[in-house]
Amino acid sequence: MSQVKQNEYRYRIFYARSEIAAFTAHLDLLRLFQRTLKRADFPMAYTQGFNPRPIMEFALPIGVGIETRMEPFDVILTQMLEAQNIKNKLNQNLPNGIEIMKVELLTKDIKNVMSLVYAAEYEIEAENLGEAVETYYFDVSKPLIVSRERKGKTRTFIIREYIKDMQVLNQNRIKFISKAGSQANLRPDLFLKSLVNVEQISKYAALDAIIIRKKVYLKGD
Amino acid sequence: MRNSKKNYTYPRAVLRQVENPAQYLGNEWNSIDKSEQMDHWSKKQPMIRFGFCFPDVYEIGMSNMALRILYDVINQREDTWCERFFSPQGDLRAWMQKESFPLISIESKTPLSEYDFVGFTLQYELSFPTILDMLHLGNVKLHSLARDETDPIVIGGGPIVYNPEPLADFFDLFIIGDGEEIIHEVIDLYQTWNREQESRESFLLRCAKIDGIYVPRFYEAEYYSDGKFKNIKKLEPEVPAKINKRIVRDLNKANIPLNPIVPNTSIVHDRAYIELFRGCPRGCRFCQAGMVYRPTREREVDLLVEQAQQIIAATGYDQLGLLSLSTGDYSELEKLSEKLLEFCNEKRVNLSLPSLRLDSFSFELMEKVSKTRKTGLTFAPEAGSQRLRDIINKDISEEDLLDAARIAFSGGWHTIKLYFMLGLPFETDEDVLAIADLVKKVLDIHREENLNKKLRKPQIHVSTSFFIPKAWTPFQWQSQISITKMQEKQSLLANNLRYRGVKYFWHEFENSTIQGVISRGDRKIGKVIEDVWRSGGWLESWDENFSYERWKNAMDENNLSIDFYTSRKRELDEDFPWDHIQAGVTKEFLIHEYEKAEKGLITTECREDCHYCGSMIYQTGVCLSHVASQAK
Repeated sequence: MSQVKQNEYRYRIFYARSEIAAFTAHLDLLRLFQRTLKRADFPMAYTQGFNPRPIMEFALPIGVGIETRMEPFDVILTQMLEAQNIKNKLNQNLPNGIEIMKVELLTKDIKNVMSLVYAAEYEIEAENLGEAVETYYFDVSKPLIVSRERKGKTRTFIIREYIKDMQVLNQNRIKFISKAGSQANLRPDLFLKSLVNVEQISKYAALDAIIIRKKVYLKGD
Repeated sequence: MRNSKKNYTYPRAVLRQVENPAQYLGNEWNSIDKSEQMDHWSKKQPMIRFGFCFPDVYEIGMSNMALRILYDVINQREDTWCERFFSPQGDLRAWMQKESFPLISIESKTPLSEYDFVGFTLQYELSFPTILDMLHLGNVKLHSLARDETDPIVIGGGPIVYNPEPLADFFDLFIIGDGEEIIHEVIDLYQTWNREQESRESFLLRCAKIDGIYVPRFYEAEYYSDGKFKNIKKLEPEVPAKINKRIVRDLNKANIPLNPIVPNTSIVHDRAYIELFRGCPRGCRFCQAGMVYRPTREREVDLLVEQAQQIIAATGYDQLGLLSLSTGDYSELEKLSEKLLEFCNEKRVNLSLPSLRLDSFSFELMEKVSKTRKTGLTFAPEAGSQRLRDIINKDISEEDLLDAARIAFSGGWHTIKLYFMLGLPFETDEDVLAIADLVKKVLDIHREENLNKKLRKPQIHVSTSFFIPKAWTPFQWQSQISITKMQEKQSLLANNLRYRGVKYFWHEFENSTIQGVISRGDRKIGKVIEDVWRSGGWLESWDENFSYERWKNAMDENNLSIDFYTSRKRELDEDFPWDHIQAGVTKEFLIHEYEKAEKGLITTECREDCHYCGSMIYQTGVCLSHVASQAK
């Protein structure tokens, strides 16, 4: 999939989703984009096999309830189209709450977008979150871990190992860059949970947080 | 006309804790937002708000064609905004109840009580407690008589409206028949209602004069001392004694949603649909839809192809479904499928075929559609023996079925689903055992074919449902078998179906019994539905929510007997609570069909002969082909 064949043009599309679209699950979102591309009537390249699907690759799965601002996914077209055209036509065919921010035609060093992801930037607003980070997170003597159970196995995350560039924007708002991708990934809800565990923010504040993934960092950017 | 703006939002913390929150949030492609026009309209005249309610959850309701059609029809009016309401799932509902958070629309998030009209589609009996639940969550008074000039007009309609009596207390009016045209007449009339000068009662009386509208408050049911229905008495001289079904005469001119909503979350039937025809020419005697949707009216091939193209372009769906009661009976199926296939292949759309006739053409067609994937084939012989198939007028012979099985196996299909009914009128143990015999014969066919070439192991899925007598069918006088009998028949069949490669599925006994109570219920059943809801009943068509105890207790408390409604065989001269709702077929025709069933005589399909069912008065569809011959 990494090699571009003749008559295959890989476009990297960046989308944003606001709160009204933030609760669509990742797989539903994938289908939503598939249908949008079909409505826009682009010459999509399809997978081989019994059940051909339009080729579409998302950089990083997105959790339910998380907004995005510049989230990449790739599609492959069989004809070259102007990037601006693709952007406009997609925006005309997208439901409320989702918008295409940028479209680029990739020309060199083409790799699967998933394999390029190494970090993501988040901005989170929750009651007292800024305060909690100021007094607790920045005090490295205080432990901050969270465990997650999955398929019967428990994994423990040492939160600070995943995060860099933590900034407090105000009493309730922070932003940070966390490791992301297949090598190491920290979900923002786990970060919030770690602060709930040590009673720095309330459980309700964590559940009611506005979580925005502002950027996904790709190698070579 | 209320036009208030009370918009609610679900807190993020709640959305993060419920299953599939996207189902509540709307903003789907092609959903209609008239909030801007509403501001514009309110200066001259307030926008009429229509709340279309489906008494089940989003994934079920959004799959329903009636909702899609009426949403489209109503929203084409500049003066009205139709929005959708579904039942919340248990997790959200519990929170709503705790916080007194009202049921709100998918589009503008406005509470149900703020609407001019609240319309429910009646699709299955066990959804009735959910209707009450949604009204209650939406702060709409449950009983028609308790509502005043400030409350919404509550409308019901749909395939099972032909016995509306169990719901009579809760609805202000019912639409009998196709809703596309009547709904405009009701909204037009609503525009003339000045709430300050005219009472609700008086407005409803005006509605009752629209052909096809039934306003139950102007009628009173009377009963004999033994509980049997005696008659229905008009309380107002101006209302009609009988309410006639209305139909859309020319489907080619009728609306079909060309821009249907594309959900943001997956639903049960997630594809584009075209509606080939309404009605069914077959006349199976147990089938309510086959009786009440008469006469058969088709759409033209070219129009259907054009509609399919437009819908695919407007939605981006990659699957197209064909909708009708019996797609194999579409008169130009060959031409239609050829044209659809051509377009579908070009646009990379999968054509999904419903179960077809058992002839070679159908197989050629299926071969073309599923070049690579051969998923299961579905056949519905409904009864195991020829004798019983003649009684129910199901036109499938054993030879047809076995031939079809042979073509299927040799053509590479290995999964066959067979649908049967148990508890049919005049059914004996031999008829039940005949199902097992038939399945055995299908397996034998596989063995024979397997000698010629190596086939995959067969998988036969046998499903049985229990026969439920329905109003306005030739079997409306028949007895429904008791739960004990259901168990006996089911285990008789199960014990004789123990073949390798055969799986047997059956419907719940108790659930079928309660459906039977409601489907031939009278107004007294309304109280039972309410009591069931008050004791926690809701989404009762979901096995995990259904409680027979709850229904049994409610029947007992109202001094009503389940057997009286289900297993009691009615005499041919008994008057029924639904007799004043004219479903289009005459009682004489139904009696005649009933008598033919007793004798095991079949009735040919409508296109071959006219059997004088009564639908001729509509002067359309298949009836027109008989008009000339009858004039002679």
